[in-house]
Amino acid sequence: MYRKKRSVLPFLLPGLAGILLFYIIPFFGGIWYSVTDGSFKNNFVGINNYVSVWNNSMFQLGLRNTFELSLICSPLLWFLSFLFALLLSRIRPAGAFFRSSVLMPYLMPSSAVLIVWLLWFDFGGPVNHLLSALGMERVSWLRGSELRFPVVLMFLWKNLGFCVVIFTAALQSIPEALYEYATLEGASFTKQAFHITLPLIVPSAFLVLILTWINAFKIFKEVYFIGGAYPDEPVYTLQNYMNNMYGKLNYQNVTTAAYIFALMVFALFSVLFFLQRRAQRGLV
Amino acid sequence: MKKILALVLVLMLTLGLSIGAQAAPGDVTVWYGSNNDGYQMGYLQTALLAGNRIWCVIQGSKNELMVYDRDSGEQKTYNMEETLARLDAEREGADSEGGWTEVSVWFAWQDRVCAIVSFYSSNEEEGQSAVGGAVYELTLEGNSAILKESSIPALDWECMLEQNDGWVNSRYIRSSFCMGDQLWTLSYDDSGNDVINSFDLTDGHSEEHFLQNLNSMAAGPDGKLLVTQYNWEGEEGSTIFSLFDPSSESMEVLANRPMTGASPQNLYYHAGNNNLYFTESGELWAAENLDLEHVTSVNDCPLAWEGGAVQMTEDGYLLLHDSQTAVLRSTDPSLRKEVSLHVNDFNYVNALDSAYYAFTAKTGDVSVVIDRNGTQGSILNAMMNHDDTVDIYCLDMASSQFSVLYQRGYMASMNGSEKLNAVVDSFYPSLASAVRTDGQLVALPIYASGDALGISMKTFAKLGYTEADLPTTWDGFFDLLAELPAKMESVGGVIPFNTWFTAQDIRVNLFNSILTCYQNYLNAREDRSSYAFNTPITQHLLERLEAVDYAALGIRERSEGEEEDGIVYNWEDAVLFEFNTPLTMGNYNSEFSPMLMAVADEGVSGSYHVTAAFINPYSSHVNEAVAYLESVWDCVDKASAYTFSPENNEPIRYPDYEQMRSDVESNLQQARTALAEAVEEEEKRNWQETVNSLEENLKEMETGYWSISPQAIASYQARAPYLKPMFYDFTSMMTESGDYSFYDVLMRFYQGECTSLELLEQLDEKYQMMIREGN
Repeated sequence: MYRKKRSVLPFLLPGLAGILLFYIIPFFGGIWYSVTDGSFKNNFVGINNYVSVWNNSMFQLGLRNTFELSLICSPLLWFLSFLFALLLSRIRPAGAFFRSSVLMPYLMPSSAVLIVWLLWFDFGGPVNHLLSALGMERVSWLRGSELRFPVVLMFLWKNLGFCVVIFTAALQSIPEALYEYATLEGASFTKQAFHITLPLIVPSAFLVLILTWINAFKIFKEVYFIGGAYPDEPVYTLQNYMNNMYGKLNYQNVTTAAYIFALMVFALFSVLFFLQRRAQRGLV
Repeated sequence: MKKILALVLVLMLTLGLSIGAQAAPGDVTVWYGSNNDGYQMGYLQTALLAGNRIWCVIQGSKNELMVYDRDSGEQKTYNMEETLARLDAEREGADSEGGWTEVSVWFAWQDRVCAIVSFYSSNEEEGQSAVGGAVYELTLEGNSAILKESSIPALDWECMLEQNDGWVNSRYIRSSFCMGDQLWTLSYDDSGNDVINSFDLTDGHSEEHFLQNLNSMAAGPDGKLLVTQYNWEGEEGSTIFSLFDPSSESMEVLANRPMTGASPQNLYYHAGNNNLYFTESGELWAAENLDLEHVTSVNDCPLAWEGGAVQMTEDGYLLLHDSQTAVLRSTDPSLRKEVSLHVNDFNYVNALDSAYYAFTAKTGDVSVVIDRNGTQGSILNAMMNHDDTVDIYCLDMASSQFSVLYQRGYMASMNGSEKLNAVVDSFYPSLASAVRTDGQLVALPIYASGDALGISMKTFAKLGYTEADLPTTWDGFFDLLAELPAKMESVGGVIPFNTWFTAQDIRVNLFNSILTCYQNYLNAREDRSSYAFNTPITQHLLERLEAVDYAALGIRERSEGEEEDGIVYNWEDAVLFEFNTPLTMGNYNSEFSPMLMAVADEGVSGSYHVTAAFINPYSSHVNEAVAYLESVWDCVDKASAYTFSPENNEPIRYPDYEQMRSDVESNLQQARTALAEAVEEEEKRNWQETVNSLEENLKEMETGYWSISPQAIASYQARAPYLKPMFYDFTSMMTESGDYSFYDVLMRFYQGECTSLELLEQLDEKYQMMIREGN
């Protein structure tokens, strides 16, 4: 047994070296950046960078917007992808075609789609035409807080397919007999969904939630393409802050902001993992 | 005495210098024509190797030939004026309608220097026509170089001609070289395609090959031609190296070399070792066995541009030249100097390049690589990695890169140089303090530029105004614009702006001027937390800008699809205002003076951009870099040097002033003699007119033929106290932030799709975010 474990090491070594080189060293290297002043003398400044970044109003704005957008996007995406996966799993003829179709936006480059998106949400675009036809006022979708709507919509449209695929795979692993039994017992579609399907796919559902949340934290391209490095305040995200700091060659603030954010995300996900474990214990 | 010394110095700098600058033993700068102060004294038409002598044909105020003898190291200059004039005279005599000649191409063959001379005929009905050509050989007689008809048979001429609107011209030849007994030339055809011509120098037979997108051409192996073509596909583009076989017209691709900002130039294939040599980014590179994937640098090479044919001496030195320089460079890397300074000159500052020659001549043990065409990545990234590849950088002091590097101390101290410290001590205080930190001199200003709205005081006076009426605020300027229609009507013959400016152009230009002025106003406060563009001051000024009545001023609106042909040029009326009038020391005489105006009641101000050179603190050759910058300072253009320092106040004549004056005086003397000898009244009258005209010329020359005139110095020094170098430029910051929506907003304003107030609102919104982010 002991010999076996030792023999595993040479096989693990390349992978471990990669992790060390590309993850662990940069991670600690980044911490070093965040506690120095970035000058030629590279003075150690302790937590000064953390204090100044935390107190920076644009960092706070970016952080707030990032969390707000993620709180809007990830539950919506989670719910919609679960719903779509359920529906697609029920479609028998041409089910594969629809499952593949929802994945298409995920494969398309955002920049290519953006032009269509900009046209749709232009002040004189089809969305406003529709609103006018319904007797409503036209909206400046590409300015101010209204810009959040197309940004959220584009995020959902783009990421839905990937989450649906994960959910579909999980759904396919549930024995069909359970549904047949439930149907015989007179359980409705909703009851089956929440009392059979959901409890059995908690690990996958949790994975989707984590992935959607991580993706939502990274909302940037959509905003950057529309509003540039300095978009309207309601859509200025933490990524904007970090990107701009990088442009200003302030790597200290980039790493500091990244570590603050990483700590917060780590804390958040720790809570989520804790809740998931409890949920699994209680439900299964 | 000072004037004489200054004159000698200027002449030394501007005349073609032939310095024995050495990068490796045996390396020589054969000829260098400085263009300091924007005044190029001569261009190199060609540099050819014949035997062990190098023949440089120089076209300047006089046509000359400079011959450098490699055995003795001596050089001698020969006059070519007479021989060229004689050729012209012969053609004029041979053609009843008048004719002239033109050297189409120079080449060296069998140790002879030859030229193909085109003959032109002038015909009123048919225009100018190339009617023939012949090969001439250059020979030396006394102090003259003479073009004599060569024993080379007449070349098949027809393929060299092109027709353009009925006119027949000899094609423009971009490069030429001999391979065996064949002369190869590269030119364009009527449709812009590249044409390769070959001429058999033994029987005159010619051949023609058509290719596309050729960049350069050189002799290749086995009678093939080595050609390069640009490939613009991909982000950076690449250069495709190929072998073209003229006999089968087939092309064999050798390599596709990424450009990374620079492209290979000045190719030479050496059949002896099967190596290909080329210049790129200030260095001479060798591709052994034509392996372009693995090239090695063998020497430095100061050539900035693609030049004529490259030739190799028997002892392995390459003769390379462009229009400004001819050098001999060793191809043996073991002969390279141990210390090699790397200078990034991506801002194309002439002083950084020019210093190469003086420095390498003085410091024989250091070679210098000047990279002008590379891609400037993040200097801070390089510094954080302790990268010592580049020794000297140069940046605009208003750029964010400069600001960051300066603030964080990534610039080596130059306090070891007494000369540079003394130079900077003499600067205006606002500039001197900006290149020092903690008592250390860290950057050397080497170029200044800046402009403002200008006014013609002559036209202003014509309208009945005096200097006291000059507006000192933008409000005053708009008041003046409001008064102008009535004034112009009463006086007549005055227009406010040149007629090619439309109302839209003027609106944009005035907006930019106000914005710059307002930025100076903000910069003077130094407290950037209160930096804002959308303020009552700007709102008021921009309301006035939008209220300008262009129609009343006689300024036309831009019409849809306007073309240049539609513009009515007006050369008769006097123009009152001119945009882009230099704020810095001008090295040319303009009737327009820059207007310094305040946006509020803070007093007038102006700003100019400064490019500064600094040394990488991680450089292994800081002392050599400091020494190089000392040479750079000697080459800084006089207009910039005078802009930086109030101690520079000696007027400077144009370098050819003495020569020009002497010529005019000589002509005047001849005219006076002729006048004295004239008998006929009409003849006397004609000579008197000539004398009067030459006397007038002489007088104008005395007062106006200045590179930097006493008036320009007085005018600049009067406004200098109100000027400051630009250290913080909002427009640059926005541009460098990569925020493309910034351009969208600007473009909408330029196209009249939003008002200047809307523009300010949107820009300020972005700017406030930028300020809040901090640096």
